[in-house]
Amino acid sequence: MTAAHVLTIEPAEADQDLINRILAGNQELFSVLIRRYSDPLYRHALGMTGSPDVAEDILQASFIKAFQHLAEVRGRFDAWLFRIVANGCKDWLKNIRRTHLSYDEDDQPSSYATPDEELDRTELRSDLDQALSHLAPSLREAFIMKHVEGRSYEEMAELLNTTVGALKMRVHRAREALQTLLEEKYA
Amino acid sequence: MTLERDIHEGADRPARQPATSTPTPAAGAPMADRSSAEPPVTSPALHAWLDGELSDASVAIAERPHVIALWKRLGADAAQLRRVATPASVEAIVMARIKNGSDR
Repeated sequence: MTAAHVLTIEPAEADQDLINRILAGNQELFSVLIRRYSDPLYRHALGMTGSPDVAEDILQASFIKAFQHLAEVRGRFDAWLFRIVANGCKDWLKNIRRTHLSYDEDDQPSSYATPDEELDRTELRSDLDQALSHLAPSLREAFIMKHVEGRSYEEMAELLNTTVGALKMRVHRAREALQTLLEEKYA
Repeated sequence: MTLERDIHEGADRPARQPATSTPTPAAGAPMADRSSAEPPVTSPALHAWLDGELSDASVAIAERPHVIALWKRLGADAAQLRRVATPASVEAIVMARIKNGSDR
């Protein structure tokens, strides 16, 4: 199949139609799904990890995993794909915690960014990443989805298979913790 | 493939202020997993404003100016993050690996 075939895809072509064509052998069409969904997923991984390099690695691994298991998609592809990325982020956070049991300042995940990445950040961004690293992954996830990705509670509930009330609680707890951590320096 | 996970991790308990008079967790546990009896530092008005349910003018009456300023700065930073695009290398690498057939 050539690139010309890819260009014949209607912008609004349903995900399931694309998936059916990919499973029938048109593997190049997977790039349409990547372009359709990668930006919000990349921002999610970036917010969760604080590192562009790690976010890119998680996204690549997630898309490949999605491709390998494409026949198993039931329901909304974007929600299914989101959960692959979200779980990849949580696994990364667990590994960071497991290998750095002491939570001294120098052990925070944000310190794992390369010097170049650090230079690109504002001081506030760096401090926010640091503060986010103190949160439980589920609180960090809820905060990132609400404030960085700009999702509604209803959309978050659909993606995470939980209730709006539970997510409001997580976001409120995250705000509470972040304000405690950042208020002294920035207020 | 199992994609669903237990995502709760005890995070849906009623909100409490993190157990801290110093801002840095010392025992290795995520800050919000710990609890204390201290009252919350964030007000209902602040949450309503951040959720888009309260106007700037209304929250200015109910909340301290420096707290509003902090969240406005965080909001501006988040808006900047919302403009970040995926590096082009992601699509290229994924499609190359698919094409090579090494992942099926």
